[in-house]
Amino acid sequence: MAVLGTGSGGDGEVAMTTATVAIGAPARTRHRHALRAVPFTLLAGIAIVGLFALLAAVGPWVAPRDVESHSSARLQAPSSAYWFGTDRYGRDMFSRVVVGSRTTMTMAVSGTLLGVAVGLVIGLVSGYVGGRLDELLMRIMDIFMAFPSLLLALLVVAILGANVVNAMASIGIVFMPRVARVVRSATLGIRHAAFIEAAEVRGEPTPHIIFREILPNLWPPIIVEGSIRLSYAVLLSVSLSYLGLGAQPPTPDWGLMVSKERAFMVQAPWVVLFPAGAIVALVVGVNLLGDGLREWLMAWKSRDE
Amino acid sequence: MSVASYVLRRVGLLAVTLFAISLLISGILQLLPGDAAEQVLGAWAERSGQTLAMMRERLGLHRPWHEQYLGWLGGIVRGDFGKSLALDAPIGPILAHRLGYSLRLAVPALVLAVSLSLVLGVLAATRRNRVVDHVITVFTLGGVSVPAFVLGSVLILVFAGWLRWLPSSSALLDGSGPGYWTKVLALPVATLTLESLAYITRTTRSSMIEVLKTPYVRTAILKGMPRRTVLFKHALRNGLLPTVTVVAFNFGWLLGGVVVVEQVFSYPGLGSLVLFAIEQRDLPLLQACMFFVAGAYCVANLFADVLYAVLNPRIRY
Repeated sequence: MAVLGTGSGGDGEVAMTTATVAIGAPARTRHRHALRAVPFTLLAGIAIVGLFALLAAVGPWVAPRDVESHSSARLQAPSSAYWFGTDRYGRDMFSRVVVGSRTTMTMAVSGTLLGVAVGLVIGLVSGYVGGRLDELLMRIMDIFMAFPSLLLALLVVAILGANVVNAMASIGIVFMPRVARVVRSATLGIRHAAFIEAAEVRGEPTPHIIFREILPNLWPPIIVEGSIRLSYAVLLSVSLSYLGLGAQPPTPDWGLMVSKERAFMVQAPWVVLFPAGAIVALVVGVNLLGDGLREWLMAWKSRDE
Repeated sequence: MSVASYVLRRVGLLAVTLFAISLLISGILQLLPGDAAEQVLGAWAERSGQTLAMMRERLGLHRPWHEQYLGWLGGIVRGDFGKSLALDAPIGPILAHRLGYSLRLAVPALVLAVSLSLVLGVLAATRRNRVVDHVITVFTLGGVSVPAFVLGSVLILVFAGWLRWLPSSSALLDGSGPGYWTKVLALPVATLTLESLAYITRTTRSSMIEVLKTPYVRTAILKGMPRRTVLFKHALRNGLLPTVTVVAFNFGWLLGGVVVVEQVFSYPGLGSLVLFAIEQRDLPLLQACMFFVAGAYCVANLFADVLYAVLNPRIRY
């Protein structure tokens, strides 16, 4: 595991790295093995999520038509001119689905990052400092966890107002206690390791121990947790948009499209099926990414031990 | 420690949790930009000084926060949830009425999901790596990846739009009797069931696989017990333990899923009441709904923990 912790650590970390290397195979060989054994699911996940990330970044420039301009070609079936058909205002569905990647990806990715970042700090401090502070922080996290996640997100958005930024914040708040718990228990796992005690004896300041000694060793579980969170984040953000509490019209957003075009669904199924398909494709991609990552890191870990 | 004292301790903890939840809900409203009166009136864009002052009076905002909070909490303890602004009626009866509708949706969904997923999970575990198992795995992966509103919309498209067997919206129908309710509930219950099914099936499958590998199960098989007895009397009892936790977790999901599914099918339950409160900026109603839902979730968790302790005599806290 120490191989993954590439932070510029103090003496303690160096000592641990050498210890691990002495037991296992030379670091370079192990690295090559790990790279060769990248699971197929991980590659497929990276490909799918990467495609949507790319669309989110360059969508407006690659979309064949403007996403907001109305035309007289209303509710046209998919054709060579309109690949995914058109909606009730004659807007090109293909362009809207392509550009729609942006709001969902932004909400899900930044919401996850926010939740992981805050939960990470709380979990690290709680696990390392322990005692009353740990008790206090964990009880506060418990209160947040007492709400079903979607309801908590709804409450936050209802208070702050419905838009993409607040939806992102609400996802972060929902994730914070869950990440904090995982990070706390991982921190407790290495709390009494020799290199931590060495750093304490050296008289290193607490922030140094937490962020330079402990954190670099926790990246694998944090990355796995983050990837699991990301798939929930996609589901949460499209659901918020569907309920009218995320992206606002006329922004092209998948959840919003499924909700707003509902009335025309029977007459023109493509107005709902294509954005719905995009959502499912992204969630499947993120799930594959998460499963693959977990498998890969676990194989890596077992080779380390 | 006996089960009774464990239950008693957990109930005490529940009271503390409910108190903390009420604090959070009440406290989070203090974070509103401006104050609650401005928020409520913002919906009608009436911000003149006089109406604002009247609204502050009505919401009790002239009192200090701790007094407002204690007043609200005291009301809840007495069973009085306050008065809705948008509906201009006491919240308690509205909540009870909507809860009835939501339960008609959630209870069949939960029962169906749990029983179906136990069958599927055990089936997949005993036929591990065979065709049945692979089909079930793909099916459950699909369930995890499709959001409730997408599944609901597709079901509407197929069963209401193309086949014309069932109504697309609960609001379109008007009537009573079991036939009517079956029609109204079929699609929403199917959506909720399929969504919860996936998680429970996956958990049951993996925990059953673990249990079937244990020596005591192998011993039972080797001493010539019928497979059925081994499976249902020996293995299932241990295999069910993680499932109990997931079902409780799923109840929380169900509460969120209910909000989405009720919106998809325009079904007048608790979930659409929450959305109504948010839309109308009806803060007393929102506060009461949130407290009620979070409370229900905590009670479900308590129930699961107690059930877990009863099923697993090894665990005594």
